[in-house]
Amino acid sequence: MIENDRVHYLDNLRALALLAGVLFHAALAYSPLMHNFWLTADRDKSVWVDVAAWFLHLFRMPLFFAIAGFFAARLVNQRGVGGMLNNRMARVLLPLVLFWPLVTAAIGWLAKRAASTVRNAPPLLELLRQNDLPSLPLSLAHLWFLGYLLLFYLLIWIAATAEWRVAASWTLAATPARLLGLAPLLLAPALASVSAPTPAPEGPLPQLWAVVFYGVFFFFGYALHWRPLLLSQFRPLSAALGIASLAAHTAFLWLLKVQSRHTGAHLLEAVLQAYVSVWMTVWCLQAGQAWLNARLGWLRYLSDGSYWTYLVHLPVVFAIQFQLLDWDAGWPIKWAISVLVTLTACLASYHFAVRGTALGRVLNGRPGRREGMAVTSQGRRS
Amino acid sequence: MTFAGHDLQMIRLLVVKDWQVYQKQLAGYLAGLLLALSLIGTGRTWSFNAGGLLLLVLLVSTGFFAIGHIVVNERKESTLPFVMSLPVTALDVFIAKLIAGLLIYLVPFLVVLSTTILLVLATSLPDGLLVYAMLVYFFMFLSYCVALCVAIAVESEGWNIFIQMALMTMLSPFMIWAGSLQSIATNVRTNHIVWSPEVLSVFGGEVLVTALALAVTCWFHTRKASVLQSS
Amino acid sequence: MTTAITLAGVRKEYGGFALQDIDLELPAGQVMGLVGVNGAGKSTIFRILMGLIKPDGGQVEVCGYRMPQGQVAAKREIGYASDDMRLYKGKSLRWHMDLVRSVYLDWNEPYAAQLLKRFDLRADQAMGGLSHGQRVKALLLLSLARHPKLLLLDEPTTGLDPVARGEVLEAIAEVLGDENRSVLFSSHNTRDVEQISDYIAFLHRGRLVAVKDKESFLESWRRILCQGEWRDEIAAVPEMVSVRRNGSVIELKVRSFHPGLTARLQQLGLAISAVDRMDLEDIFVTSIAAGERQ
Repeated sequence: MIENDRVHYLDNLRALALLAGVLFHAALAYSPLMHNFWLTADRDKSVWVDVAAWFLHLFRMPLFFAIAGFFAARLVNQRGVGGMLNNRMARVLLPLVLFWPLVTAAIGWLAKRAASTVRNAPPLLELLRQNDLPSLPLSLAHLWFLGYLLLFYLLIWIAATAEWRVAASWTLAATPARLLGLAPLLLAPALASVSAPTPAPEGPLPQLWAVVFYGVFFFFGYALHWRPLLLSQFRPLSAALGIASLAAHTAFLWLLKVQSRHTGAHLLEAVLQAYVSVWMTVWCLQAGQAWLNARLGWLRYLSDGSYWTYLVHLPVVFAIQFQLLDWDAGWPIKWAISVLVTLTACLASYHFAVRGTALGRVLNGRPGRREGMAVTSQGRRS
Repeated sequence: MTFAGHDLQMIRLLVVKDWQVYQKQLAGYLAGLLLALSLIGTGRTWSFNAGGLLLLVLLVSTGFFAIGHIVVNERKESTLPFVMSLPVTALDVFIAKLIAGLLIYLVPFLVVLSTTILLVLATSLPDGLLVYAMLVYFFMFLSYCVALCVAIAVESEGWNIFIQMALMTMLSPFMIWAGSLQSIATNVRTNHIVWSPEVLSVFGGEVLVTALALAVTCWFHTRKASVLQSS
Repeated sequence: MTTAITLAGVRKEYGGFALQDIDLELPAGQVMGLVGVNGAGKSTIFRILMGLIKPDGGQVEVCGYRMPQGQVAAKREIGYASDDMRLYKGKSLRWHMDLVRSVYLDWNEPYAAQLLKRFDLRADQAMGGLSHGQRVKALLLLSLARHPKLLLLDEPTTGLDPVARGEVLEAIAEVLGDENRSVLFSSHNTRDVEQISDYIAFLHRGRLVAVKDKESFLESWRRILCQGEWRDEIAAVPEMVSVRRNGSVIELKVRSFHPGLTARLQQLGLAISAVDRMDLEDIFVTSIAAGERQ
């Protein structure tokens, strides 16, 4: 599983999760559910986008956080809690401080410009145009996950310093049946406290539901580092997990479609989302371990460029999709163009302008320590 | 390395020592602060109020326990003779205590302060609230500094608790009084941030009292002949 | 001969207690036992020596440094442990060892490890869970592992069980293998003092009653058993400190004993049946009792 100090399947899963993030954000423009809340919401939209995008959404970030937890544990194991924090300050805090103002300014500038140039403005842009919304609210945008990562790293320090062993004993007591059957029920109240599908917790302050929800995945990943055999215990359940997740997601979408205002229905939506999140995260991890546990050239490259790509992709997606708003073409073509152009622009800029520069060293670590990148790679993820 | 006769290396070491001694409790408080911030961030009225209250309670109790832990306990638990057995002067120990006490309090204080600034400026709360909030927070900081100085200078535990209680009970009269100041009352519900001469003089007063408390304690310590009581 | 400690005319007064005109010298490389009952002023002398209390008068010099002005430099050479000294409950012995090591360059880690083993202590154990004996041994370890020139130990054996007391005394005795290292330790247990001291100082009610090297000190005291009729002139003999009578049997305790004394007692009509050396405890109790009577 671990070769040359790299955990191949987690590296590869990270690269795929990155790809999923770009696909997801590019798809939101064509989501009927997001039509009123998304800056680049297009006239052409499809319910199939909701079906696919929200399915992806339920385990994309949980998977990120689980992998982040695993690598945090690895760093703690190798360098101690202080060493882990020092490393994370450079790889997570610094990029957040550097990129957040740039990304926010870029999105703000693009939105203002689009408000005055786009003919088929979506509702949110229309609000901006009518000056009802003088400026966009303070938000970490898609970089919210960096804030939560920092919070979880801080929690590791707190737990280690205050010598809280409760969390450790819980995770060590986890069995496959408990994890798949009971853990989602614990997560459901967190999800029930927000709207469905779950919004991005992008505000400047942490939100309790997101701390609990993503925190559980993070600390699951953290525990996984000390229980390397746990994943293989899920393998016999692989097909069942996939099918059950699809069924639960279908039921969730049906509930959304019915638009019941009943509290019980909302609670059930939360429970279904929680099950899909846990089952699919576990499915991805064990599938990655089974099928992607090798050095795959193209994924490796993507993995190297993934942190940069994810940090800067949203303004690029917006820039392209603002241009496409007035174009009369079907959503699949527009979506494909926005994904392809975004990935090309991000990876090309990574290749020519970031890799090998000081910025590249901040994001990927020093070139001389590449063999240890798996250890430090969480910072480059998502 | 020395500066004006003080061994900076030893002072740094003692500050780190106090930080480490209090670290476990501080970790607990930080966890509480994160919970409070998460409650505020959730954005519902009940959670906003609960989070805000928790934030202030934690700030006050962090101060109370920090003083208890690093100053009062040093005497009560008889760890002061151990500290004094190290190659330090009483004045260096005093300076280190002061720095450690301030540093430990500043961690949660700055978290709370920056959250308030963020909340006031980035949400629909009126921006004018900022000036009032600053006056109140600096009053809390002043209270802490005075309590810290008293704890360092006065060895009686009863007096320390009395002073801390007295300072805490003064908070709400101060809040009412500050709220009644002309420029605060006029602007607190608007988006105007006005630093009127009246407000600035209150700030000046707060800074003066803090500086005075620190100066008096320093003076008291330079004159103190014995670190440990004779027995 | 260099001195490790010099106290000259030291005075300190507070709340009904007065330390008066203390003159004391401890030559380098020697062990001095400071004996006195509780409240005699032993701890005050230690605190004055550490620069923690400023005396009202007199001069104090420790390891060649004037106190309290030279306390920082002096404390680099001193290992100090007192009965009322505690370590941080929530922290481990390792943490304390690291703290002390970061202060003193001459910290000897292999020796510290050796002491850990010898005192049967665990470095990762929190101080809160230690027994009194373990705490004393931990304090001693923290002092000894940095090879101080002068050890100031205020009541190191008080409250220890016999095994722990033996270990502590043995460790102190071992320090004396190095000729340049000096020890001043206080105790109200005279047996400990007798066991390892080169010099003995008696402190009573803030005054030094006697300071001498152990051998001549023990040599100068005698317990004389005699028989005969009591006469007041016997009590007037200058060397006489204590007299007890039981019928015709008389027990005398004398200081500054010399062979001529027995002849003088015989001249006064006493038949001497035994002349014995006294142990330190006996000397201590006798001299304190004599001091009380005066």
